[in-house]
Amino acid sequence: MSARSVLLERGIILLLPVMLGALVMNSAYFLTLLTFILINGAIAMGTCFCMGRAGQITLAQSGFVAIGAYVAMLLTLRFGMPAGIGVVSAVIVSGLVGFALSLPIMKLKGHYLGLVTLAFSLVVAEVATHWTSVTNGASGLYGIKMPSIPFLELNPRYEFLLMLTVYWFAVYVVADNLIRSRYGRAMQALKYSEWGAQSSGIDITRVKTEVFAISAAMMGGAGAFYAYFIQYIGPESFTLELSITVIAMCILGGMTDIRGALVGSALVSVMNEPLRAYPQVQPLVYALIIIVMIIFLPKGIVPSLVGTFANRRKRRRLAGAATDAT
Amino acid sequence: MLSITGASKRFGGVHAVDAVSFEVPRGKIVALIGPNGAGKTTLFNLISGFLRCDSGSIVFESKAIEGLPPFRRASHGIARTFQHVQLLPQSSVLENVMVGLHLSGRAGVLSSVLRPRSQRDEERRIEEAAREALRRGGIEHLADETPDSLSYGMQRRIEVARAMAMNPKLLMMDEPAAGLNDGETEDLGRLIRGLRDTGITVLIVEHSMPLVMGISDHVVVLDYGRKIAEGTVDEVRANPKVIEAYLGVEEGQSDA
Repeated sequence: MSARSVLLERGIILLLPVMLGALVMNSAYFLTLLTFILINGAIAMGTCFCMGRAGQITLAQSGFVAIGAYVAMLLTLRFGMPAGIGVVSAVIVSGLVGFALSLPIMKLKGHYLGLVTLAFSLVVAEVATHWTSVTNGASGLYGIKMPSIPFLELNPRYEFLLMLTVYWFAVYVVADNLIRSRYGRAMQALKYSEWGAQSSGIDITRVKTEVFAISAAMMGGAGAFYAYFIQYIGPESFTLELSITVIAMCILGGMTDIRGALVGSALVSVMNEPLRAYPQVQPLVYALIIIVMIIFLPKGIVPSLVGTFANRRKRRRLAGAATDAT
Repeated sequence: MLSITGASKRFGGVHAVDAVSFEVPRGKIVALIGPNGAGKTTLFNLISGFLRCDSGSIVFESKAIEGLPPFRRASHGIARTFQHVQLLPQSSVLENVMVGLHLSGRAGVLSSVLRPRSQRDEERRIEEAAREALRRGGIEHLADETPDSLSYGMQRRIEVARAMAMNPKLLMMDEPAAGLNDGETEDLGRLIRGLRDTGITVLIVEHSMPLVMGISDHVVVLDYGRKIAEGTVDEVRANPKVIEAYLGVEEGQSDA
């Protein structure tokens, strides 16, 4: 892909939430929906990065999102820190926890890795419930104001959306740049062949650790935005359902393509809306999405589209070569 | 260039490799042969670092490499291919070979994200070198294909191209002719001899006797984890122990 088309693609991705948000500027409902699409999108990108590109199964989403949310919330609530510092700290702390978590589970693969990361999410929820002096236990934390952009007099929800867009876009660029580089190739080698990677001189222990930390950091930042937007967090804000929803998003959009996370998070978030009145149906719908996709479109929407276009271009090129020859 | 001294590896009660010693001289093709289960692949994995010796030493270019993880051995100039190809099935052939150039780049997380000029130049250099490796391997026309759409023989050539892109001092090939037809095997033999002629040392585990006998400068024979013979192709072929290991002996003759 040429540098120009990458730039164009990124421009479109950056403008989409900004434009859509401007269109629905007066609707709190649609601005909230967009906000959730972006928050989920950032978590989904972290998931695609770790699972789809580096092959490391993770169910730690809700754990890292919770850590990011609590770090940001506590800094603002207890120390009066501005949201910017809250988000950056959430990214750093989640990243460090991701790094620490990756060390003991280095040797695990596949389902075992899934189980341990699932356990991690549960432990984080337990800590949030029982460490009452810091987290206020099951009652949760509240009492901050939604941050806004100084000197701008727009709908505060739109201002928030703009700030979130900056973070969301940064996550996209970081992930995409890593994927399109020496580092991304090492991640792919780790996913498909640990032996092949090592015999090519790739330190897979290091790549695994870093990938885990990076994806945890992406999720933690999303958690911070969640906390600032809802202005209330408690242990039940970050249940395992969050991890499963995000994985459903990635499977729908396409696990192996970071753009799949964007498409999947948008589709599932929108689909979620009519279901909000029936919370007991939601898990069924996610399960259905996962099963239907695995049967009919196992690669997910974006990789399948990319594949179709690539094939068509190849056929056209071959056809062109054939007519040149005659 | 490579010397193995008293290398041993046990799995439970089985001596997979039992006090094996031999030398791989620089610029030669050395073949490791033996019946199934003789310990060839285990020995290979001991040398490339995927398994650790229980005892014995492995010295490469007068450096003890026993104790180093595989990726460090790769950085000392040891490249290998696998009995079951280890490629990225859905990445392009070009990208697969670019993986082999990992060690010729330095960009880490930060510079891959920020893309300074040095990183972009490095990427361009790696891509050029990968295309060159494909040209040398005679598969430059496959650069945009993905391995999962290619024949087994082609996949092996991609693996060789990836290993060669590392510019190794020693190339280790684990049963490179497995699953290839006669024509492909002959091509492979020519390819390996060509590599040796450019100064690369080759250590090869192989079952295909025509290939081994056609290209090897030196042959080491293993049976039940022990070295039973070594020498030139003709010496090994005439060695009664080797014949016994491969063909067995009639009862009553075993003392002969």
